[in-house]
Amino acid sequence: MLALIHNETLKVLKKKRFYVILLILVVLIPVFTYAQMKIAQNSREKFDQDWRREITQQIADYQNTLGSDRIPEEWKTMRRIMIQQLQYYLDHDVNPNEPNGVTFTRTFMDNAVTLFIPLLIMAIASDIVSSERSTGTIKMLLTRPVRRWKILMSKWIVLMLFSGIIVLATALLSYLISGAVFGYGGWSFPLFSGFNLSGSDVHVESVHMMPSWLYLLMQCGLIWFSSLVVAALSFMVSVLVRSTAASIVTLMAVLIAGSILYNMASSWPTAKYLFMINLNLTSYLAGSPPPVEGMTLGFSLIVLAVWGVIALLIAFRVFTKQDMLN
Amino acid sequence: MKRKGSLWSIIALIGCLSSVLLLTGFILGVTNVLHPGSVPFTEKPVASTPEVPVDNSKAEYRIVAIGDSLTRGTGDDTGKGYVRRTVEMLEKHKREAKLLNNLAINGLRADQLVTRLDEEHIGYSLKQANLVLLTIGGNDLFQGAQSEQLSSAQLNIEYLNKKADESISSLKQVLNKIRETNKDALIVFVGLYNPFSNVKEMSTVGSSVVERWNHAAKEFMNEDANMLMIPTQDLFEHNIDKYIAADHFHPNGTGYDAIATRIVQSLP
Repeated sequence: MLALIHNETLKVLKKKRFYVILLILVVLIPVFTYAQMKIAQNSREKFDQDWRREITQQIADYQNTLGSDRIPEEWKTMRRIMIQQLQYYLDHDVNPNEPNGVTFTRTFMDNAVTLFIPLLIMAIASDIVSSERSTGTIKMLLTRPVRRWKILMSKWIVLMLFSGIIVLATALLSYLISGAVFGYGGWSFPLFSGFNLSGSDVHVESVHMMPSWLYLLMQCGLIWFSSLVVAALSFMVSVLVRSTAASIVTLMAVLIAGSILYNMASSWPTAKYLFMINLNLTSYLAGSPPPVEGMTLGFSLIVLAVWGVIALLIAFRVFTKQDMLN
Repeated sequence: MKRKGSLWSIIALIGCLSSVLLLTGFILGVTNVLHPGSVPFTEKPVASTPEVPVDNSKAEYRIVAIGDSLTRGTGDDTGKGYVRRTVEMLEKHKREAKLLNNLAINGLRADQLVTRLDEEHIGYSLKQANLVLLTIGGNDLFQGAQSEQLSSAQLNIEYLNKKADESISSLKQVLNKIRETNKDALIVFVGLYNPFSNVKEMSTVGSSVVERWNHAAKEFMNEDANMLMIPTQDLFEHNIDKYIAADHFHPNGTGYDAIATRIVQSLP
């Protein structure tokens, strides 16, 4: 089994996709860092680094949109929640956007969880089986005296290892690159978690403070769970579909559809059973409102786990029973 | 082959370690959401109010604007309103001016502003200012007048006068509260105009209630040497078509420009 895993790891490395992923990160993160730097500069000019005044202005601007009849009710609810949370940060004299590498990493990971990280995972997962078939090496592999499920299992374990590496590498690279601009400090800066939402009201009784490093660790852990589910689904598609391109396109389409649906899900509550709507686990940590009212972390975890397990079952079932014709 | 072998063990090791680390993070994260506060290193937050940094080093206007949609700049296609226009004009006259915050909210009434002034973050901003720009009262007197123009209640002078007297006491509270928060700032209050002076049925009634309001406001402000009232009723009375926006209620860009010109002329 260990030899099989060894073999599969080498295959992934040989295909150079992993290096491409790292390269994408190294190219894209500076772009976001630059954009973030521009925003920070702007606020420095307008508010001479007085973050309290900036937040005060932000609250006033949000309050103004509440009066408009043209704004949908869900947006207003979201704005009301954000106003109350910003107010909480003001009352406790903590800047939610303290400019440093850790804050950048936190924001970047929050935004990457639904589309960017799944995309990177897919880059490895989608051809892990299908490429063997398109190149014909699958026959060589299956003629060895090893049980089929063991072969697939070794591939899945390798995929899990790489998922962990990708999530961590994304966080690490974004910290290292953005830190060069914003500074490497901020690990112990306090953050709030535990905002309890009901409708447009925010209950603050259970709010507690934690250092940024702990928050970041929890965040990466939750993102890792979503990534594993995406990996499982890509893995299944890779078993089912013969060509790598087709499997990438299938999953991309599903993910993009998910991110479009995310904003409309409030008017279609059944969408909460789709895995794409549940990927954004970190929003429960930050206390931002879920896409469909009433969704909780427990619910999302169960939905994701069910999707992931079913995907793996299908993958193993099909792979062990299928005739390898071509 | 030797190199390959060591690369493999490095990858496998990193993979295992990151998985363990992320699993820890995942467990902590779930515990944190399901049982808030039970995770180590977390603590209950303490409320704290910061000191207000007041920078008196430069001779400049540090402006905070507060009030209703007029201060917000509703009706102005450029979005500047009289507040930004005032800042620009001051800069054109080689006087330094900086807008700290525009805290105005569309549709705000005087009584709502009284409660708003109690909010700590509003006070934080106000304390840093040496010039406070304020408009309020339009919504107290004419709320709903845009949609259902000329309902019988709105034409009723006694009803309007009663409304004016009620809201004038709120205005007094507003001015007192701003003064309490900031002892030294110059408070500039932009008076009301009658937006219906070109509507025949509304012209006299509207103007009379606006005058009543402005008069009471002026009388109250006279008691404080550091309060300034900018009249607008005379500006708008015969220029209503030129100065009013498409909603027949708010000034347009030209109207805001006229108000800003007056403010700049009156500033010390």
